[in-house]
Amino acid sequence: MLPWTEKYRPKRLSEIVNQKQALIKIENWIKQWSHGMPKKKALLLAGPPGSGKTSTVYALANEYKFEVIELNASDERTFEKIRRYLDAAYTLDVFGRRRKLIFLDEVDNMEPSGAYEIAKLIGKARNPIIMSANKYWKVPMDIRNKVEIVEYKRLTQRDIESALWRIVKAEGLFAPKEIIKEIAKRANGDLRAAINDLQSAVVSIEDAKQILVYRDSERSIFQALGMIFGSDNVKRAKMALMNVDNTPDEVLLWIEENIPYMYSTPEEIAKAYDAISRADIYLGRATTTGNYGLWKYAIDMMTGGVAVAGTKKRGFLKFYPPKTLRMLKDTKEERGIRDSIIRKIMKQMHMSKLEAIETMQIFKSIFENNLDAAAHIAVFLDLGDKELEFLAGKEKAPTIKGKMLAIHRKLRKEGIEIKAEVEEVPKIEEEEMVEEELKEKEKGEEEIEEAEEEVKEKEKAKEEKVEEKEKKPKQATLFDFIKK
Amino acid sequence: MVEAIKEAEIKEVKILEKPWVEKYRPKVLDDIVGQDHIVRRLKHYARTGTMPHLLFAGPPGVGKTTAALCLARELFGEHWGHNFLELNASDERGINVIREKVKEFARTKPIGAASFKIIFLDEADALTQDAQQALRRTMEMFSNNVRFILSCNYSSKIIEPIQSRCAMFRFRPLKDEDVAKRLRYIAEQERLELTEEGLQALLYVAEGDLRRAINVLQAAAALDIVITDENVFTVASRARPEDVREMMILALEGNFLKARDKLREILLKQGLSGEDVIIQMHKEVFNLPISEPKKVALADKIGEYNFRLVEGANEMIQLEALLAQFTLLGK
Repeated sequence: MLPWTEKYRPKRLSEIVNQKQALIKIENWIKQWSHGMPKKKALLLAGPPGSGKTSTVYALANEYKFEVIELNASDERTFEKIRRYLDAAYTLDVFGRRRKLIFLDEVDNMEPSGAYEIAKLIGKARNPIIMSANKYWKVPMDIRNKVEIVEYKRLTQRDIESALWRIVKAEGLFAPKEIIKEIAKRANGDLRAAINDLQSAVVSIEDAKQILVYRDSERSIFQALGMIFGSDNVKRAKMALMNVDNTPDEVLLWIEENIPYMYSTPEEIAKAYDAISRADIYLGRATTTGNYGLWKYAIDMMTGGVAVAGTKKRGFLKFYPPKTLRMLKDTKEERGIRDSIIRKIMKQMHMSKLEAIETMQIFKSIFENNLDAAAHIAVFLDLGDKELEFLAGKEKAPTIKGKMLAIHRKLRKEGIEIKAEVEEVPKIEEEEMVEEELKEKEKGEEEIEEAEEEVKEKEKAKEEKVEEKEKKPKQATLFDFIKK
Repeated sequence: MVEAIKEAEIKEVKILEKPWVEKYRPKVLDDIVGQDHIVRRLKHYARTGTMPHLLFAGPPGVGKTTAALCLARELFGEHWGHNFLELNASDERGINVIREKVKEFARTKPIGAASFKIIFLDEADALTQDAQQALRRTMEMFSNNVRFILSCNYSSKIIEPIQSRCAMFRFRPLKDEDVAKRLRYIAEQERLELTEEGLQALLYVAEGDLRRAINVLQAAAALDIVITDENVFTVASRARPEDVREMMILALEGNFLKARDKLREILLKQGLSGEDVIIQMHKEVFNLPISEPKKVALADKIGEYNFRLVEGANEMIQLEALLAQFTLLGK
């Protein structure tokens, strides 16, 4: 079965999705080849993966009757091949055969020495040469000087969705809307990846979600880990990060996670950890000094340093994604609630953060054991429902809440305002301004009037909220409040 | 004025029971325990209505914040809240935020008869040297109508130019008898039965920190009006989780993966910073069941990684690397 990426590869330039600007440039350039030679004999198509660079080359060749010679720039023998083809192309041309178009893929992965030779060949070339790269700034300067750069933009989710729907229709399939949407979203602008995902997704919808878990970026980081933990050779280990898009600090987390699984003795683990500790220090210094040249030493340590820390496991290596990233995500809400309680304790009880953390732990014990005392503390700190639940647990929180309302009622009867509820507003009329400038003064008063109004509104809103809650203590949600 | 301050609080107390740390926080300078030498000098400021910048140094829970609050009350009377700003150096996201808040606060003249306002900056030793230099300039800029009270654990972490601009107050660690006196007073007010064992347990866990003693007393009282040593230890163990010790022992026993999980839980779930963890590790390392030379070797490693933690970008990586050293030395 033909992969759909080949089956549905555009035959004509007009079928290329949403790259009009680039196509105009390219057509102008290829037309110049019909009457001689353009100023720049090579084009560099630069853009993210799956944005249509390769498809453009084949559609172009199809429309303008060229034969495509595709070569991989990272292959060591490429230089020799190009020279042969360039020579041959010229002779064959005389016999009236189709002219050859040289297509050089991945020139951003090329060794600098090869780049110099290829740049020289471009000068001598009599055939159109098209190169492609994901990141044109990574293309060696020698080459960049000889080419015209054509930029491809990242495709939008909508571009990809409509392309997928065309294929679904052509195949006569049924596909749920959400799946198409999800595939398009996860593809992150990569139409080739999206089409591959679509083809595997329609095999079985159940598998679809599984297949979608790891998309490109993660796939390449697994490969990098394989190179680092599978090699004793420092140079090879250093190459590992070449195809990885993640920033060094992210990559460091991936390496860190896998050290104890890849190495077994305490010596090896300590050695590998020492290497990433050093790497992290270089990253820290790079950030504080703004000297990102230090990144290369960080990369030496996290790749080569980790690679030489011990003996390698043989056979299939299984890697894990960093648990910490998931933990951070999973605990986000809880941490938010906790930090908000800590801030309230710091403010209301004049404490530093460490003291407030300790106090919060002790309060937890009170909230679980003595609901009356808990209610008083909760009113004093002006705790919200979630904060109350965090300290007391789901079961006891409603009871404490009821007791809190009773305290609030009594306080209101006595006409006492709780400090925590009303932010302090300076009484401006008693104060003389230090700065005499009139403008400044007017501005200041306006701000404070606004602030006063805001506080009044808040108070009003709070009273309403409390009344509502008193009627049905358990269910008063923000939603009820808005409806009102 | 002192009498008025005391009376104002009474009405509110009847309905809303504040946490005891606040409820029994002294309202006037004379009620502060164990710091007589300091109280005398501060009362002089209150009487004369003038004061220089002050630097309060001393361990936690001995009365630094309370002294600042009492001084403000006695200097400013009913307007004290408007003339007093409390900031926390470790919480204000950098010196620029502090500077903005100082500027905003200093923009208006003090209310009442006072000729200046007070800014209380807690944890001033959390500021970097550069930030302290900036703070010094800020102090100078607003010196005609703002006085600073800087609070810190170690005065040696405060740069020389700031120290020389401040009157220094060294707070003593509280003696057990001072802490005991206060605890007995509170127990009486709250109609608790404070057993002798309970009191000794409270003194033991407090380590001279009166705030911690009162917090633990309230939590023990939430269990039972009889304060026993058992209840005190139950509550206190929650306040100072054994997690850090457990983590170190796991690492020493060669269980690196479990130690690593524990560390991540401490950092992410309990909200301690990397530096907090390393300080606790250093405190606890000498209580570990290992040979004496190993304790020294580990303390040296902790120091090395404390340094790396400051230099590095990701504190979790540095702490895990330190745990790997524990596993290596524990072998």
